[in-house]
Amino acid sequence: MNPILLFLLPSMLALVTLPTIANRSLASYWSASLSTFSFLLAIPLVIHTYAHAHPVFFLHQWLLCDKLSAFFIGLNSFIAMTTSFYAISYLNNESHTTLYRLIYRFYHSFFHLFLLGMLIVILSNNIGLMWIAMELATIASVVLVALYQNSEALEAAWKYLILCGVGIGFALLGTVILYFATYHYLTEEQGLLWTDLLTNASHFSVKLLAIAFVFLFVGYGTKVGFFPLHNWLPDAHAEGPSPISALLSGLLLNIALFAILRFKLVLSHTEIAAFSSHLLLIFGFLSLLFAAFSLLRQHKLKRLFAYSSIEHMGLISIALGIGTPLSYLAGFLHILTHSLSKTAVFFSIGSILQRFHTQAVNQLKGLTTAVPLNGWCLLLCSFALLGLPPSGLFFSELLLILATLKTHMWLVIPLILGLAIAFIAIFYKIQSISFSSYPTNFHPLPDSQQLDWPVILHLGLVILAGFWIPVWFIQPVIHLLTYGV
Amino acid sequence: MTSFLLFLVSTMMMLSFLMLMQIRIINLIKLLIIQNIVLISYLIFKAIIYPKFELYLSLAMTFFIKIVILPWALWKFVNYLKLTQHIEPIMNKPTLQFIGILLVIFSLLLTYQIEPTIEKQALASFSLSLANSLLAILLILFRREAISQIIGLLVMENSIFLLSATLTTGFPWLVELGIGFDILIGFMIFGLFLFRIRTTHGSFHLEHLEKLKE
Repeated sequence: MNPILLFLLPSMLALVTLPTIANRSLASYWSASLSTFSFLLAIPLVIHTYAHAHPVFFLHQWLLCDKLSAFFIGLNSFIAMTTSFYAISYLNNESHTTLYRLIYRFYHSFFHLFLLGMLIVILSNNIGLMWIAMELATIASVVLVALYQNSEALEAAWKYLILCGVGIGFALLGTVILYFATYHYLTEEQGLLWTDLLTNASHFSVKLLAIAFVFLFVGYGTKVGFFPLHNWLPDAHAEGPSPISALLSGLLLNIALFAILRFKLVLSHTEIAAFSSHLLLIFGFLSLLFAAFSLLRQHKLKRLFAYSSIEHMGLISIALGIGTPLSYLAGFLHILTHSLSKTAVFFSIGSILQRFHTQAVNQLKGLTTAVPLNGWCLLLCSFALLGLPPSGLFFSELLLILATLKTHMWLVIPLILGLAIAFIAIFYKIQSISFSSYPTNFHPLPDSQQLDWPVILHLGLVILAGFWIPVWFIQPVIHLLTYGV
Repeated sequence: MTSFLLFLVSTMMMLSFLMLMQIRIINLIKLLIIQNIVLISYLIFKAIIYPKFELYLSLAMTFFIKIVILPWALWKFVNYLKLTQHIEPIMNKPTLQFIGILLVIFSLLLTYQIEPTIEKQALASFSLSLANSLLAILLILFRREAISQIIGLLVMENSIFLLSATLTTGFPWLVELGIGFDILIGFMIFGLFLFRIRTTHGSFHLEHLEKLKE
C-alpha cells in the first residue's frame, strides 16, 4: 500500500467515526488514539522519504512527500498527538453546559478535519489542491475558534473568517495567474503540478510569475500573520480553546509559511529569485519589529503569546528570505523548536486559565507557589521560547544572527533590537506572575492527568534540541532547498 | 462575439460599482444575483465560442452554485431576518467611487506590464476582472455590517471565477469541483455565524464585533 495513503487513513477514519460517537470520554480517547496511530504511521513515511532520493507520489502525482513535506509531517503529527492527549483532560475540566454534547462532537470532528486539511496542504503537489486544503483547514479552525459561542469568541471567529477569506481569495487569484503563466508550456494537468512548475519555471513569463507570487504571498501571508494583515491572529488565539490556540500557533502558521516556501522555490529557478527573498525579508522584519513593540502593551497571557507567534514567524521568514544553507538550518531549527515550545506554553496557559478563570497578567500572582508544576512549566517554557540557553531556540536565533551577519551585515541591528524588546516584554510579564508570597486563589481541577506530561515532553525535547541539534532531521531539507529536487 | 464577451465583463464591473453605492441590503443582494447571472451568461457564450468539456463542467457547477443555491439561500436569509434596514458606507460615496476608479486604473496599468504574454482580448478582461476583485475588497472594508462583508467576499469569488474563465479554459475539473465545494461550505459556515451573531447581539452591526482591542 502506498505509504501516503496509509498515513492518511487514521485521519479519514476519524472523520467518519468521530461525528457519530456521543460518549464524551470515548470520543476523547478515540481521537487521541487515532492521532497516535497517525504519528506512528508518519514515522515509516518520514524514514522512507529521508532514505530514498526520489519523493513518494500518490494519486496521479497530486500528492507528494518529499523531504520538505516529510519534515513538516513529522512535526505536525507529533504535535497533533500530544495536543489530542492534552485535550482529553482539558475538555473534561470544561463545564458541561458550555460544551454540551453536540458542541463536543463538533470539537472532535472539526479538530480532525483541521488536521487533515493541514496534512493535505503539506502533501499536495497540485497547487489547486493545496488551496482547497488550506481553505478547508481555515473553515475548520474558524468553527473551533468559535466553539465557546460567547460574544468574544464570535467576534474573533468573524474577524478570522473575513480576513482569511479575503486572504485566501487572493491566494486563489495568485494560483489562477500562476496556472495561466504555465498555460502555453504545460498541458492542463501539469500546469498545476508543483514538480512540473519547478522544472519548467525558467520558461514562464517573469512578470506574470512576479504578479502571481505577490498575490500568493499576500494570500497565504495573511494566514502566516505578517504585519499589516495580522489582525485576526491575536483574537483567534486568545478566544479559542487552548488546544486550538496551540495548534493555530504551532502548526497552522508554519503550514502557511510552508506554502509560501513552495512558491518561493518555483521562483528560485528564475531571474526574479531575489524578489521573493526580498519580500520575505521585508515582511519578516516588519512583523518582528511590530510584534516586539506590541508585546509591551499586552496584558492577557494568550494575546501576549499570540503576538510572540507573529514575532517568531517574522524570524523564520527572515531566515527563509536570506536563503543560505546556514540560514535554512536556523530557520528550520526555529520552526521545530518554536512549534514545540509555543504549544507547550499554550498548554500551560490553558491549565492556568481553567484553574484561575482569568488570563489577565495583573490578576495572576505567585503561580509557582500556588500551582508549582504548572507555574514552573509555564516559566521554563517561556524562557525556552525567549531563547535562553540551553533551549534549542537559543541556537536557532544565534545561527540566524550569524547568517544575517554573513550576508546583510546592517540588518543585524533591527534583528537584535526586535529580539531584545520581545525578550524584555515577555520576561517582565512572566516573572511578575510567577513569584509572589501571596498567590492568587484557584480552583483545583477535577482531571489533571493529561495536562502536564505533554508540556514536560515538549519542554524536554526543546532542551534536548539545545544540547544535540537535530541536524539529521534538518539536513536533508536544507539539501533539497539549496540544490533543488 | 468577442466584443459581446467584453461587454459582459464590463457589465460585471459596473454592477460592482453600483454595489459600492447601495445603502439598502436588499438592493445589494439583488445586484449580486444579477452579477451571478451575467457571470453565467459569460461562461455560456465562452462555451459556445470554444466548445470544451472543462468549460461545460465549469458552467454546470457555477450554474448550480451561483444561480440555484446561493440566490435561494440569500432570499431565505432576507425573509427570515427581515433585512430592510439601511447601511451607510463609512466614507462618503463620491470618495469611495473615486478610489474605485483609481483601482481600475491601477489594474489596467498592471495588466499592460504583462501585455506580451496575453492575447489582446484577454488583456481587457484580465484587467477588468482584477479590478472587480479589488472593488470587492472596497466593499468589504468600507461597510460596518456583517452581511455586506459576506456579499463582498462573494463578489470577490465571482471575479476570480471570471478571471480563471478569461485567462484559461478553466482548471482541471476535479480542482474546480473542490473549489466550488469549498466555497459552498464556507458560505454555509457564514450563514451559521450570521444566525449566531444575530441571536447574541440582536443585529448585524459590526460595532458589537469591535470589543477585542489591544
